[in-house]
Amino acid sequence: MVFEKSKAKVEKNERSFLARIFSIQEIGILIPAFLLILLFYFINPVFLSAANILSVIKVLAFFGIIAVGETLVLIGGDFDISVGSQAGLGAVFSGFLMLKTSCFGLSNTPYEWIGVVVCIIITLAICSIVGFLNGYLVVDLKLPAFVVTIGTMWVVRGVVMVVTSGKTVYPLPQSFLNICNVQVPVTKIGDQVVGISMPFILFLLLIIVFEILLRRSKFGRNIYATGSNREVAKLSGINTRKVRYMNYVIVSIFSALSGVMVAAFMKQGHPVIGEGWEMLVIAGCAIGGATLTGGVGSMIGTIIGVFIINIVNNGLVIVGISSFLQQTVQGVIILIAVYIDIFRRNQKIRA
Amino acid sequence: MSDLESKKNKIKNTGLTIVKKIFSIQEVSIIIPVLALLILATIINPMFVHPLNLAAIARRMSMWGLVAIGEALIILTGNFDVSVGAMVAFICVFFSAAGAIWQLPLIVAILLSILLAITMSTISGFCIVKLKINPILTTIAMAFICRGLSKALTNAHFVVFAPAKGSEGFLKFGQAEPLSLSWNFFIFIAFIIIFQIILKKTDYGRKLYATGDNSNVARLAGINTDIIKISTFIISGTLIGIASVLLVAKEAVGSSNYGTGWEILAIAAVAIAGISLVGGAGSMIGLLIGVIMMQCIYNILILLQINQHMQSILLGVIMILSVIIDLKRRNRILGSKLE
Repeated sequence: MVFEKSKAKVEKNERSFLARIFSIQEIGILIPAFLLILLFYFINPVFLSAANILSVIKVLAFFGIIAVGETLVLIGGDFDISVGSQAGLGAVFSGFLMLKTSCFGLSNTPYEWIGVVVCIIITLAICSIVGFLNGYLVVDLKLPAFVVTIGTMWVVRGVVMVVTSGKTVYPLPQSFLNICNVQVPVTKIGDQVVGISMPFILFLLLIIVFEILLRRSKFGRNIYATGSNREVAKLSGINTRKVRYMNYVIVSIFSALSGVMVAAFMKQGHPVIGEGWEMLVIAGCAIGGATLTGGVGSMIGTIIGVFIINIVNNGLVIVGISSFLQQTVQGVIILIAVYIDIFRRNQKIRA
Repeated sequence: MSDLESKKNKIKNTGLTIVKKIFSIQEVSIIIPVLALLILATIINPMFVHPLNLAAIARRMSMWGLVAIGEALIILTGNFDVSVGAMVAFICVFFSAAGAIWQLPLIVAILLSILLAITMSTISGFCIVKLKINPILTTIAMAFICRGLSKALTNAHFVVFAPAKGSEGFLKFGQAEPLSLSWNFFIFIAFIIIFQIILKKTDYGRKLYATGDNSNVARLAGINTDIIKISTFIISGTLIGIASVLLVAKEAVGSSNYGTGWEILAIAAVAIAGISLVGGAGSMIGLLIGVIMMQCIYNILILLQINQHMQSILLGVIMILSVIIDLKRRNRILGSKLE
């Protein structure tokens, strides 16, 4: 009798353990990711070659850094569509600054890198102004974030175009290219050493730091509280205004940083850098479990979401679909991703 | 003595209330900034009031004005569509290809194009209303889909529209300038009048307002709000189809770049028109004024020879300003109701 009871208990425990694993959101997202990888691999085995994986990782880091910031904004219950334009601003402005001031007169000297770093920091500071502007419009003027950030997206893109008059900014200083293109060598293809790029390492670092901050610190708890119920958070003494402003500024800085990295990667500040990224970033976050109503989401989910988006993008190229149709497929993926998000939320409510 | 005074006061009061009443008509409060803008524009550049320029404004605005009518109806019921510009590009390219490459008869090509526009728009509507996906996300995704399709269809080239034999009159119709305006302009005005009547006089119009004002209450009152909301997308799709066909008739070319920024023009015109961006208020006459105002602003920018990139900044600023104007007006209306 007692034996039977304990057996039942063990069984129950086992089941709950399994159930628990499957109830972790991130696991649920991994399944479609694996299916996609298998699908692309069977169509074209090149998909899983070292060179291709490394190139996926390299491109992924640029989106990923923005997605880290966007996840914070989404968890805090807000929304930012202007991130792509801000990446463009970061790319163009940093290059512009380095060229116009010739790295504060340090060009072609052994100390060139100091000038480069200063230029990057100034760029990030300038771009954070866009974050403050978004924050002011959404938080203080209480305008709808969706519509207003479309407005700032156009304004920032226009500023980029006016500053460059539509032309690319180059040649960028050599030490800038060196700093951002450092990589940990993995394999050799022909004469070229390919490896894990600096942006990806930075991306992983940001993911780890912010995952810990979100889970373990007051900073993270405040963001979750603000996103899930702003009024309650305010009543319990959280400065929700500060939290939301901070999210907008963080996402601006990360977008600009990503833009700077892309400029270094492309060896030029191209004014169309970042066009259309906002939707890919948001789709990545949504696939990763960040809801569009706030209060839910995690960095681990975001990294998987960003992976899926990039696997699809890369897979479409490998499979050989026309680059124009890719935009269409991306649109469909965004719709499906957001629908999954809604479906999941409904199921949770039912449960 | 006191009798006379009170009578005098009464007359004075009625005079005041008449002025007040006139100013409280929404359309009047929109017309004043438009007039101010026109005067300012004339001072900046006297060419602005030249009849040829005014006719050009009228022709230009009727292009995207048709699309703005659909957008206004969608916004009236509390939704949003930012894919209209991309959809115009897709339908234009499709229509040109149908005429030039697939050699379909003109009528078939026109009907197919309008049907396609309705289908795309209805898909958006279905995702928003039935699947409850955020309207802006849905329509941005739809914009991606349409731009991608329009580029894929043409490899990002132009498609020159060549009508089948016997229908050369179609291009003549598109490029004709009756009264130095265009047929497009008259079609636009006709639609404005039709929808003004529908909104104010029919059962359907009242249901639109009710749904936009408070969807839940409307549902409790027995209105099938889902059908009403999707119907606005169907109407918008139809108008997009018609606008695209007319655009190709005018330009004789289809390009995947058509319609860039039209969604912002349309939304800004809607916001200026006093159609609340959260739904439930506004009229088509107001929209007409909003469309005129936006086109005047655009025209002034061209007359001032402001460069194209600067215009994208201004579009963004206009977008933000129109949201702010909408919010201020809503607060004012709310305030006066509370009084």
